[in-house]
Amino acid sequence: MTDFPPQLRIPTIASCTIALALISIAIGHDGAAPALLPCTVLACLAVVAEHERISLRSGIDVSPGLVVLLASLVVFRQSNSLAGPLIVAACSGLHVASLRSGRRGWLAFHAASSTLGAAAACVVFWAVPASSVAQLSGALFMLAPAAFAAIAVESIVVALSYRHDVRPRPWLPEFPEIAVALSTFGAAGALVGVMANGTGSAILLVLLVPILLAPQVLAAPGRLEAAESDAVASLMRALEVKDPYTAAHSQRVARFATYIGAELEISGQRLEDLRLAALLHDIGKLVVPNQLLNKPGRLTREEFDVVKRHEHVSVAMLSRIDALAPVARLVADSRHDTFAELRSLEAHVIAVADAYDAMASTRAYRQALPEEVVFAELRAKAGKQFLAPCVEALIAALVRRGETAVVHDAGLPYGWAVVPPKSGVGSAGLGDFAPAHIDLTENSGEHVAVRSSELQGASR
Amino acid sequence: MSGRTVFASGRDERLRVPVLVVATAAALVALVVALVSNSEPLVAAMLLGAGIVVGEVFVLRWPPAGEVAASYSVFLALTRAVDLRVAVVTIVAAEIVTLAGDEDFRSARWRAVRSAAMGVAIVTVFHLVFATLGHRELVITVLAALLVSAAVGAAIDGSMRHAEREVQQTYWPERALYAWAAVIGTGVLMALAVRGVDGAGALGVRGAAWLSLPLLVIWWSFQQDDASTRLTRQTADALAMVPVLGGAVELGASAHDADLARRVAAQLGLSADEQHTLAVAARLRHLGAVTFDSVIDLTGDASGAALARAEAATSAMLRNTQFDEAGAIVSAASGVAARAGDSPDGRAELLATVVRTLDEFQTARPGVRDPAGAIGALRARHADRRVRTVVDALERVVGSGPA
Repeated sequence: MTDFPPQLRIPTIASCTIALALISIAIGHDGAAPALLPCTVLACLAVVAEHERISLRSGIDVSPGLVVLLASLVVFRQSNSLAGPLIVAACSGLHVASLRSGRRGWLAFHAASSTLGAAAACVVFWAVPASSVAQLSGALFMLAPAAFAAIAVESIVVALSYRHDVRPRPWLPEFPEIAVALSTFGAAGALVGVMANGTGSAILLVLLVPILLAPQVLAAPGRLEAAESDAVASLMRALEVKDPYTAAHSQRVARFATYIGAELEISGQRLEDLRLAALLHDIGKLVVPNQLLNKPGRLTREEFDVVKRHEHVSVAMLSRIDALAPVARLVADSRHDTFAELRSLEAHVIAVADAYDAMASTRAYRQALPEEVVFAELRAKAGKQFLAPCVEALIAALVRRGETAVVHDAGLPYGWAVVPPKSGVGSAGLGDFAPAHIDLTENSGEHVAVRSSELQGASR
Repeated sequence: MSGRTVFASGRDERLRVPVLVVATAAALVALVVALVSNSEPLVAAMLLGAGIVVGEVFVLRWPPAGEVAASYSVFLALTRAVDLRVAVVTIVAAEIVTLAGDEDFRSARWRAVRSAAMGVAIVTVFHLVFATLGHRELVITVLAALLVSAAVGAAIDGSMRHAEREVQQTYWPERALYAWAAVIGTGVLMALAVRGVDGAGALGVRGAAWLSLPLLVIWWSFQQDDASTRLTRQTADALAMVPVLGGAVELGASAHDADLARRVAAQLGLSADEQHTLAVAARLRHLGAVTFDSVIDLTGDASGAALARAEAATSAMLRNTQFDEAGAIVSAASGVAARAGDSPDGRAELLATVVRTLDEFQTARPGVRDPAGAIGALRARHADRRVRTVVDALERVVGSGPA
C-alpha cells in the first residue's frame, strides 16, 4: 500500500465489497458470464485507456476511459449482459504504472470507484428499451445521461472517501474543454460499439484511435496555460536580473493589488488580469539605465523624461503579446498623472498598491516609512489622489492578514550599497522626481541596488 | 489568460464565414434532394463534399510551418460512399469552392491542387484495389490508398519547393505525426462507418459525420498549441524591443541577426528546432546591455569585451525561463563558464559558434559594408575547423542576398 493514505483504507474496502457484490448480482441477473471476446478486448482497451491518463494543472487526473465505458455499454446492452460493463470498468483500475510500483491500494480504489460509476451508467442505460438504443440516435441520446451518471457516482465515491481531507476545489478552469473533449471521444466510442454489434468484436480495436488521440487534446489547455505563465515568468526574470528592487517591488504590488481586488469582490479572470497588470506595470523599466532607477538624489528634467518613458514602454511591450493585451490596457489605464484621469477601478487599485509599497519599502533615496505614517498618508490622499474604498480595502486586508510590517532590507534579495537616508522624497512611481525644495544633501554617495549575495561577498 | 487568444489572424479566419455558408447551403440542398429524389449517393456526395470544404478550414498546424487539412479524413469516407466518378467530381468541386473563398489565391492554389490530387489518388486507388480484392481486403485497400495519396502529396510538395526555389528539409516533429495520425485515424473510422465491414455495422453518412467530431476537438487543441507557440514568439518580440528602446542596438538589427542565424543554421543542416533556438539566441543576445548603470551602446564599433559583457548578462536573464536553451547558447558564445550540467556537446558548441561568428561579423563595421572583406578577415583570424564551417555557411547566406 505504498503512498496510500490510511484514511482511504476503509472506504476502499467498502467500495470493493460493494463493487464485487454488484458484479455477482449482475452475473446472477444475466444467468451467465459475459461473452469472452468482447469482454477481453474491451478490458484490454480499458487498461490502455488508463495508461493514457494525464494530470491536469488543477491536480485532477483524467483518462479517456469514458470511450471504453460507453462502447461497452452499447456492446453489452445488445446481449443484455449487465456484468460486462462492470467487469470492463473494474479492469480500468489496472493502471500499469501503479501496478509496477506496487501501489495496490490505489489499484483497488480506482477499480472499485470505476465499477461503481459503471454500475450507475448501467442503471440509466438499461432503463430504456433495447429497441430505443439499437438506433444510432437513440444510443447517443441515452448515453449522455449514462455517462453523466458514471462520472457523478465516481466523483461522489472519491469525494466521500477523502471527506475532510479534500479542500474545496474551485471551478476547474479546464472543465469546458475537458467536458467537450470527453463527450466527443466518448460518442466515438459508442458509435464503434454500435458498429461492433453489427460486424463483430474485432472492430472494437479501432477504439485505439480515440483512446490514443484523446490525451493530447485533454492536455492542450494545460499547455497553453503553462505557456502563459512562462511568458510572464520570462519578463519578470529579465526585470529581476536588471534591477532586483523593481522586480521585488512589482511582486509586492501584485500581492497588494490582489488583496484590494479580493476585498472589492473582484474575482476570476478579472482578478487575475489585475494581478498581472500590477506585476508587469513597471516592466518598461527594463529600458531605463540603472543609475537613474537607483539615483539617490533628485532627477533632472532630462532624467525624469527618460524614467517617465518606461510607462509607454510597459504598454508597448505588453501590447506585443496577444494574451497580455487586456493587461496592457489596464497598465495603460493606470498610467496617468492625475486622479481624475484614472479610468478603471483596476487602475485605482494599482495606484494605491503602488503607492503603498513605494512608501512602505526602503528605496535608494530614503528608508521605509513607519506603517502608521503610510496609512495616514494614504487616508489623507483618499478622494484626492487615491480612491477611498481602495485605500480602506488595502488597510483592512493587511490588518486582517497581520501583514502590517513595512518592508525593510532584511531578508530581501537585494540591498543598498549605501544606507538610504531616513527621510527624503517618496511617493508612488515617478515621485522620484523630487520637488526642488526638498534637501537631499544628506546622502550624496552612489546608490545602486545589488543582490544580497553580492553584498555578502563584498563584506567577506 | 487561457482561451482568449487561441484564434490568430490568418487563412482560417478569412475562410471561415464564406466556407461555412457554402457548406451549410450544400447540407440544406442535400436535405432537399434527400426528401425529393431519395438518391442516396447524391445526398452522400453533397454532404461529404460539404465536409471536404469545411475540412479545408480546419487545418491542423504545427511549428515551424507544417500543416494538414482535416478534409483529408473525408476522402476515405467519400471513397466508400459513392462510385469513383462521383467521388472525383465531388473532390474537385469542393476544392474549387474552397479556392474561390480564399483571398490569398497564390498561396491557396498549391494547397487546393495538393488536396485535390491526394483525394483523387485515394479514391482511385481504393476503387481499383477494392474492385479487385473485395470487401475482405478493406484494411489493405485503405492502407494502399493512403500510401499512394501520401506519395502524390510528397511529389506535389517537392514540385512546389522546386518551383519556388525553396530549400527545406523534411522534418517530422511529434506534432506532425500526431496530426497525421489524427486525420488518418478519423478517416478510417469514418470510412468504416459509411458502409461498415462486408456491409454489416454500417452507420451511413450520418454516423461518419458524428465520428468526425473528435477531429474538430483535435483541431481545437492544435489551435491552443498554435497560440502557445505564438505566445512564446511574441514574448521574444517584446524582450527584443528592450535593447532597441534602451538605445543599445539599432531598430531591426536583432531581427536581421535572427534571420541571418536561421539561414546559417539551415545551411549547416541543423533541425528546425535548432534553427528556431539559434534565431531566438541571436535575437535576444543583446538584451543584457540594459542591465548596467549605463546602457552598453552596441550601435557603433562595440568592442568584443562590451559584447561579451552584454551577452553574459543576457544569459542570466534567459536562463531558467522558456528561453533557457537560447540562454545557454548565448552563455557559451560569450565565453561564460557553462552552468554545471550544461556540458555542451558538439551540437551546442556549433550553435554557440554561430552566434560568436555573427558577433564578429557584425562588430567588424566596415565588414558589414564589405561582407566579403569581413568574411575574409574572419577566415584569416580563425583556423578552427568548426568556425571555418560556420564562416563558409555565412558566406553562402550572404552571397545569396537578403531572404
